[in-house]
Amino acid sequence: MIWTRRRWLAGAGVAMALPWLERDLPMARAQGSIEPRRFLAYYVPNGMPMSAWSHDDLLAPLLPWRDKLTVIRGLRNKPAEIETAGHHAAGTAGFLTGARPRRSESAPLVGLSLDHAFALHHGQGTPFDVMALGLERGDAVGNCDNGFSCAYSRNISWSSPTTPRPKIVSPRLVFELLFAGDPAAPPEAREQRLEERRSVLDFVATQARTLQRDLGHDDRTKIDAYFEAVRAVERRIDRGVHEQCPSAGGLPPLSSEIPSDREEHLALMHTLIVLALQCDATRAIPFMLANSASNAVYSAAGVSEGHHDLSHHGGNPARIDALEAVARWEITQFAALLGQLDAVQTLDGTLLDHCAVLFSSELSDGNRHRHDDLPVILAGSAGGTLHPGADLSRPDAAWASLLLSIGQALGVPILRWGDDGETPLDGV
Amino acid sequence: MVLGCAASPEPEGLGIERQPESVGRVAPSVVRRLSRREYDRTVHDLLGTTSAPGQDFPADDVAHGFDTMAQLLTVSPIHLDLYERAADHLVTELSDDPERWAAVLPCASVEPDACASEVIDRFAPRAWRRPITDDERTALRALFHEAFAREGALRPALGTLLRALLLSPHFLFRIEQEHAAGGAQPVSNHELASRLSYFLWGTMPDDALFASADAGVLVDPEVLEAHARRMIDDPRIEGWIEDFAGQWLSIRALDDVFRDVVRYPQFDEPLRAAMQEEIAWLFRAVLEESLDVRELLRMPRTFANARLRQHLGVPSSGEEEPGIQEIDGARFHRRGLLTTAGWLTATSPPFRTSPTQRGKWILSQLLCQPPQPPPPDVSSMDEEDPGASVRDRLEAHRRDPACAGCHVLMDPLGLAFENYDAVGSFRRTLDGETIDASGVLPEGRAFADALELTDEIAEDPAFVRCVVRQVFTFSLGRPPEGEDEPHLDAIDRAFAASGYRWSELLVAVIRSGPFRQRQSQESGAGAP
Repeated sequence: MIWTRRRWLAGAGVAMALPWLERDLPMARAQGSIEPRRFLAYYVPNGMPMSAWSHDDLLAPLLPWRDKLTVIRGLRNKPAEIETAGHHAAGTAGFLTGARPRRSESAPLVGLSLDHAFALHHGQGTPFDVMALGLERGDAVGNCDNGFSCAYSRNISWSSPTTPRPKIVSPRLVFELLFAGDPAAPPEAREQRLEERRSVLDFVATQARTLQRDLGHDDRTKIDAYFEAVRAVERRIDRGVHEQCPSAGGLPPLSSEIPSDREEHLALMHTLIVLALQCDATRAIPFMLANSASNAVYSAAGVSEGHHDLSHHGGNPARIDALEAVARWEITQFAALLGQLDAVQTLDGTLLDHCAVLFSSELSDGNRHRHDDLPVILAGSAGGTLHPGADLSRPDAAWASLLLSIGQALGVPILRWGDDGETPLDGV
Repeated sequence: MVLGCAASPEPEGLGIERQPESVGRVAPSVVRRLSRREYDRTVHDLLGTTSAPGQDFPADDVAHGFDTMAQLLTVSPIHLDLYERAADHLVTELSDDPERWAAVLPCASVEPDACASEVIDRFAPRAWRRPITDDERTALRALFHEAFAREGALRPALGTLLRALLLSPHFLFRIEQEHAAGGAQPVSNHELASRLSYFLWGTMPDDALFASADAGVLVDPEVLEAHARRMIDDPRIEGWIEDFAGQWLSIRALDDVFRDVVRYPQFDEPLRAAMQEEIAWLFRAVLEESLDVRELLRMPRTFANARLRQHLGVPSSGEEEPGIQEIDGARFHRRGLLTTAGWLTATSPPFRTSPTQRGKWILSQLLCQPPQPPPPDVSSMDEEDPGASVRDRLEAHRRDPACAGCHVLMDPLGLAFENYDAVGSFRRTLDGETIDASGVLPEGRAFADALELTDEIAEDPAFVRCVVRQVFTFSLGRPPEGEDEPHLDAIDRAFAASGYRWSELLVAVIRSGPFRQRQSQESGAGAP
């Protein structure tokens, strides 16, 4: 199957300029499995203590999956190397876009993120094109970074260069979205409810269209986004997520309160991530363990100081120890998620085998805000298009090149990515 | 304060073609979606509900200090999911409460068609904050008929109608129509009613506003002003205090503050809440007692509940009154906002105070002179000689020419507050040394301590100017632009002439051109 630009745009269902697309692109490197490929981006904030970043230290919890992952050293996110402060925001904004964000509080501009490029290609058949998840909503002020919009710090998912896709932090909410409608209700009642939703959505979509006529240019753009959102929900109703995801997978009843215990919160989110991917509710999940420069306190890791404060350890050995404890906790949790993904059997292999899972951070050394030698783990083989198992060292290669490689492995017809992803990363 | 460090204006680019500046123009603005808090207040007023579904919505992004920035209030599919879910919840809740249902959706007739028409004619204009058109009435009736045929009963079909009204762009956005291309145009009566009610109350217009808008007289500046004054005296002004003061004065930021439990075991949830209350009461007192806004910084009284009184060291009088009491601030080294425990806490990192952070806050929030971001690869204080005192280390910092420009402004301001620790407790010594809170302002005037400094800041002409710009930004959902300058000058003058009363500032903003007009987004025609 060859994807032409025309088919792409038809499939994408939206008319947008995609300058990086070329005609008649080479297809993904492997075809064959009927199991769809999935993309999970796993973001952790504040960098990693790189001196401990090795298989016999921080990465030890990953040992059982070592042949299913690649640890990559040396990558550099050059677009994030801005001249003045704002490194957390810039690194986070570039996490899946590979682009440098505009320094602006109220008019963010960065680039389409890889999860959305993948969704435009593959995700149109699933109820959710992209399901952005995370643990921190970040309600209060003060989380913005030196003139960069809070949007850069709270999102890694950008459905357009100017539109962040907000993440869901409530496990209960994810659950309700996945199992829309009451799965226990009789089919007629469910069908009637869907009919009602369709008629309401149709009504408001028509209103949005009519409204366009009376609006100025910029307002039209905004109402367009509303219209597209209505269409997305309509498409999902037509596909009926609950039919693909008939059971709740043994989850405990979820409270509408967000768990105050971070480890418990994370465990629920992990279970829901696996469920969403397993049920094919979505094929793209950008996940943020915490927001950029988060100062969360990881008491489960045995520390009492905020994470961002610790990342500026200033060489103090006790604080470096505490920072490593947080990192070890993060890797342990991530390893548990890989274990869950690997425990789901598919017709050929496990769910993990059909995923590309990217683990990294907006920085390497948080103490000095470095964007080179980023901590990178790439797990799963995306249905055989990635070749994990051996570690790679690619000093100063572009972070965006890795994003380009992952995109191509997922079958996204791209030839470059972000600001400096000119060639795929050798050996991925 | 002397400039020399202020950040250059950001290259914003709202994506809108700039017109050349001229008096009488207003800067462009875009349609605003209701913020989470506005949504909750609106459904409360519209439906009488006490639930707050907006709490589940994604956080509204913050810019220029506020979450009411038009440009950032966009809609994504997840928003729509949550709006749908919220509407379901609100309708179900209403159906379970027949009394409230009858109050919200009264209809005299039991005949379905007549009842639906009554609901459409009476409820829809309230939900959409404007009269509905004939086409809309027809479409709503059609929606009802379809639902009635499917459900076979009146109430579920009206429920469908209600869901549609709540999910409509006319409910979720504050729509302002483009009447003709080019130039500034007055907004309509109903658009103005919404601008006013969301500015002052953070919610939909009330019946009196609707009545004036329906009569077509709200655009009359005198009528508009009378409404503004009535609304400022109404308890719903709390919406403005929550959203404006809550964000401007870091009351909301206290939600996210974390304190090291070993060093500050006293910082618990009741204390956090008491700190937030104290700042809100201070703000409210200046507003309600019609004081000079500079009293915010030099108020001799403070407002503390039992938990905060204990924290401030107020002796217990035996019979303990748990609620808020007025305290003579001077006895406890307190004088206005900058010595409230809450502000001192909100501007400190978890383990210690940060004079730089406090100084930066004062420059950005109170004087509208935000310092430039630090240069790249700057060392943080922790990397420097740990044996030296904070004051010495900061002095070393200021000797570095790359840092001096800003730190010479921020540090003396922040150091004046070193007598207050990271939870706002008063202290005389730090690490065994007596704290020296004195300093000299860039203009050369000396101050002995925080209390004297706070008077200096209040007297600084930049402070009252900044207050005007903060209110202006909040009210219009965008920062001031070049075209706004003549309007801002006029507001500055009216504010000064009133002796700096909040109410007069609010009225002056509401009467200004930018508040009553909108700029066409079509560049083609160009105004004469």
